[in-house]
Amino acid sequence: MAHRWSARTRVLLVFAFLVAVAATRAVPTAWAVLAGILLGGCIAARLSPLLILQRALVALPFLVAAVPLAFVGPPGRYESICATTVLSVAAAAWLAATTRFPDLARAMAQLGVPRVLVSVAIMAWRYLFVLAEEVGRMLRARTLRAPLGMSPRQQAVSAGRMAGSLMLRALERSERVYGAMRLRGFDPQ
Amino acid sequence: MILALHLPDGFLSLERAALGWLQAALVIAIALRMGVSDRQIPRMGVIAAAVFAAQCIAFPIVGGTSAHLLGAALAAIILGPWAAVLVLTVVVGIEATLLQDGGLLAMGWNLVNMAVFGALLGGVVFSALRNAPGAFVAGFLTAEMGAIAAAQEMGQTIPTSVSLPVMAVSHAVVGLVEGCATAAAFLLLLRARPDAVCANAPGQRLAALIVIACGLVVALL
Repeated sequence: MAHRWSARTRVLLVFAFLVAVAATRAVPTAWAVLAGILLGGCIAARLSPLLILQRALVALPFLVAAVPLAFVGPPGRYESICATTVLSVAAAAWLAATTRFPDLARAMAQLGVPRVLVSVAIMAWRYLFVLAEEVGRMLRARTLRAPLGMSPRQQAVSAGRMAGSLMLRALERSERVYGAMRLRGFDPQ
Repeated sequence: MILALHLPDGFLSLERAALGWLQAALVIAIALRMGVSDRQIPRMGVIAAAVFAAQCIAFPIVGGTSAHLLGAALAAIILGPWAAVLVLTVVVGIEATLLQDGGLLAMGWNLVNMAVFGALLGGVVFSALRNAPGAFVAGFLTAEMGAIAAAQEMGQTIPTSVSLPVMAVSHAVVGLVEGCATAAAFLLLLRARPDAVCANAPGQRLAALIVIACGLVVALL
């Protein structure tokens, strides 16, 4: 069912859900209701709730950092943070799991996100995996040259040179992309 | 453990999240007006992907912790502050929507931390000096300011008396590495392709004013 809703509807639903979570930070019964809604959303989209929960663990470092609050903070504050954070991250994970990136970008454009930002995002998504592979090759090459026992400063410089040459390759690639776009009739204003 | 900077949802009240979004929307609107042409779309898109990819380059810091490059200052060196704001906006947006790294309501503040205290601050500092020390300081300040601002923004839930010193000290180390890396990347670019370093971008004073204004808002939280 949920997979038939348009991406725009899903984006709006998730934002409404997040606002509801943030507005009921101090109401434990609301957490249960919202968790139920999210569970319903998972079932409607035929997603495993466990998968969504696993994705929600991204926020774990922040929850660990906030542990002292459980002892010194006002009673119930830490539980409230944990509940709202997990619910919010899970809702975002639900959106990511149900929506492909091109659909998300189109939904953003329909919702009034400026055209330039949407175009940049689409292009970033297109080349993300290409450049991530390039970084992977660079890191492997560095490991193969076995720079064991580099000092922290040397490590930083080597990381910087890698980032620099990555940027160079990216710039050159963007020039080729731009040339190809012009040849296919792209007309910059 | 990887030091994460992006605030998740659940730590901020609705009003505070709205304040962050308000600032972010203003800054993005200004950046869009500061002469970003269609010609630059492929360049900004591929550099955004490269900033993402550069964040895969992790380096160990003391005691088993590691950090990764942030790349905001480097993006500003190549693209100038305004285009870098848009690039960082896209990076933060994709991280929040697809990787759940950073919340959607909290994204306004994450944009302030990465686009204002990253791209704009880095761009202003670099273009004031335009040399390797300038790139170092730009890299250092973007890491340090982003962390201090994040601690201050979360002050509602995690008392700043605890988080502020921890974040400031840990990210001073991250900042040293980011500074060294940014300077090394800048020198490499300068040698290999001097035209890849952004010439004087317009609106430096406006950029500095925005950084100061956002800094004041964060300080007064």
